Amino acid sequence: MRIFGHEAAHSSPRPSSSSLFNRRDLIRAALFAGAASALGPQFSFAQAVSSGLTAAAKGEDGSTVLTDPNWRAAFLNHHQNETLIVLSDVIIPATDTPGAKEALVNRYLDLLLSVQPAEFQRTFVDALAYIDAESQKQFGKDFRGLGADDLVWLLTPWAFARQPSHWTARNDTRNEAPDLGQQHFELLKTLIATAYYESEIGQKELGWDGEFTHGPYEGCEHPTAAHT
Amino acid sequence: MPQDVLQQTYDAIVVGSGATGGWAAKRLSEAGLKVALLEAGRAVTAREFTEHIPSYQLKYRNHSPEIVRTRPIQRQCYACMEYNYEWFVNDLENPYSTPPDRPFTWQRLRVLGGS
Repeated sequence: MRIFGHEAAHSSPRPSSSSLFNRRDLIRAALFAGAASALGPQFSFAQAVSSGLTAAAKGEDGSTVLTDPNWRAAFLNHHQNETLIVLSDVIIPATDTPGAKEALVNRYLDLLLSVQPAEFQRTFVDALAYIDAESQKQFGKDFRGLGADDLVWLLTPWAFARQPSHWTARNDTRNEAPDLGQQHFELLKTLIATAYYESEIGQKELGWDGEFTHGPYEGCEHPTAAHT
Repeated sequence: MPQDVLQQTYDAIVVGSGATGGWAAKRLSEAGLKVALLEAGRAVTAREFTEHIPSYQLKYRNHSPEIVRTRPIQRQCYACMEYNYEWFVNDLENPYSTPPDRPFTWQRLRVLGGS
């Protein structure tokens, strides 16, 4: 697995991207499937609802909203969602492990965006629109319609700082105009990478074996009065 | 609360057990004082300790808008998470009454048990 933009900058016109798109079968582990039923008969769902429990305490698996076969975007329109899928797939493609597309990064970000302040929503949508506009300018096509090599060619300049940091340049660049492409790409890349590594697929890609360090918590089941 | 408990006189009243209140009540009782320990909230069961559930099974992966909306002060505590935020008081329903220039941001849980 590698994240686009974490390699050394290159100046070749169109790097080969074939190595970025090797796909393997999706690995999915259905951890905690049926968590609600595991709570046992003593746990009343009606009691849970009325007592103000969090979804986690009710035994709900919040990740199922992303894998719902009838999933619909809550915030992004179809074009934006398709653009995000393509972008996430080129940033974190499937290699010997599943990539961002398989981790449903687009669906999680859509869910998260749906509850964010309008200003942040606008910033995100503007970033997607900027990439699309640049794609139109360079290739006469929407970003989502580009081939693999063109995707990489378009994104490569934004993936690496073209201006020296003001730390190393002794503040000389502090007042220079920001690189919009780099700014937009950085935002999207950060969110995509975060969403990926917060997912089950991402955590396993980091080396998590599905086991818990401390094992499952099995609390005391005695009635409260039994300890007095 | 039983009526006879309310009508009794105590040497000390500890409001909330928690990590320190419980010990205060214990030590005062051991010293011979008549102590009342007040608690509030519902009982927490072992099943509610869900921090072992992986974060990706939280709908918002610990970025729940409900916490932002209803626990703007409580969520300043690291322990107020999407797993358990219902243990903390709803800041909208239980606002602090201190003046703006003297903010009071102590966290308040309202449950019994869990220690």
